[in-house]
Amino acid sequence: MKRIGQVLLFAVAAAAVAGSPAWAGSWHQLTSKNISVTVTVTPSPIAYAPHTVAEAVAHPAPHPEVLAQLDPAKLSAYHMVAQAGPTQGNVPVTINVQADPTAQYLHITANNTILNAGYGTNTYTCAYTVFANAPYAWRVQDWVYGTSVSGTGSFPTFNYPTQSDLAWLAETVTTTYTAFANSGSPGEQVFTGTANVSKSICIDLQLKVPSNIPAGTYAATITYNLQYYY
Amino acid sequence: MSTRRWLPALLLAPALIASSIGPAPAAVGSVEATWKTSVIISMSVTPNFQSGYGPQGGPTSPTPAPGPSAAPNGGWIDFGKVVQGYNYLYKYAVQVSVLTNDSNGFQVFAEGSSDFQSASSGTWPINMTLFWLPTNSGNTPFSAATPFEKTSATVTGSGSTTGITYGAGGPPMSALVWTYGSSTIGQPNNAVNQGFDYQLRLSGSAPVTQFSVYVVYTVVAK
Repeated sequence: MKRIGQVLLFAVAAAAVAGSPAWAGSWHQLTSKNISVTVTVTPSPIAYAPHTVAEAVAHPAPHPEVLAQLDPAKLSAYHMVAQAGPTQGNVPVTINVQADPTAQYLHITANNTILNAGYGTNTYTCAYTVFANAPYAWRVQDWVYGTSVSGTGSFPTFNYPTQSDLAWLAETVTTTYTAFANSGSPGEQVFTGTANVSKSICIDLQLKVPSNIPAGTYAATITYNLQYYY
Repeated sequence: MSTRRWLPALLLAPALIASSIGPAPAAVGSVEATWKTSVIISMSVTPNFQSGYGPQGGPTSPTPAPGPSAAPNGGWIDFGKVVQGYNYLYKYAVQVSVLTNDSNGFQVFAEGSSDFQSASSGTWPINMTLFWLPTNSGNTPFSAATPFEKTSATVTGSGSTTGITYGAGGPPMSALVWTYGSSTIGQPNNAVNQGFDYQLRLSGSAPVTQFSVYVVYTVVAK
């Protein structure tokens, strides 16, 4: 009877080791990615004044030395021909996109990262999608990029102990908005998965714009960190 | 006295008389000259305008470096090889120089002539990918920056002649990148300059290919 008990105890222990990596393993870093969002708080402080001929006549240039000259040979640095010069120019921009070798484990797809916001509470559905996978049990954490336990930060995410005005909700995982962790690594858990089973999770955002925040453009960058358990 | 003695004097007399009379006096009057000083404005756009231009950021490999199309004070804003899912900052991307005699100054606008375009993978949205910010030593790949928008106006030309024709309302205010409130006459070279850095925020799902786009700058007198 005693031997049977010992066998059963061993079997239970073996099962625990095999079935739960928490028994002997530990979390290992796999990769991390950042996602930046742009916050544009309206109304814009910049007022647009259209340009008309009447305005130009009403506000003539105050420099009589700038005259129309018929003889180009007589032009000097202080004389300019009274005609429009080039008013438009362009620059070509090119990028050579390379594959991310760690994208198979973690990558973020931007869906709507330009957040136009009014004062008060604003929400943005599926601002971006976080994909994660790993050959072992895994978890995804997040925190505000650049923050630390004793750092400083600005709107909208600030730095601990000031609470972030930007909050998140992981669709199908969480049901309420949570202010982004802003005291650096390790941050907070967003979602988890089992070995070799990937997940793509839409992240909804909620932004509260206090009345003391001037209209303008702001930025927030969130770090997503993937760890596996082995 | 013979006639022979007076002959030289007689011959010289007409000349002496003529020389004593001189030219007729000029008519005296005045002319009122008036003019209107036309508003003039011109702009130049210089890519890669300062030593040290090029991309920063991304993963450690490949090392960020300007691509082959970039050249000092010209060429392309060539980010070179960039990796999906990473942010980059292109230092000293563009310098805009404006000359105007308009006492109210000017505004400069910038828009993409299109989304990013590729030969093999179609287009990619510029307004979630390419951003601008005034050149500053403190800029990073994660600094606050403003997206370039794809223009909704008529695009003219192609390649280096790419331009945008705006209607009576002018460029949209969302495209405003620089405003200056006075004449530039008296400044060095009678012009003022503003540098811009570009920021690339590459989505993790961006296709692996070469993309390009033209950013068109437009200056408007105020």
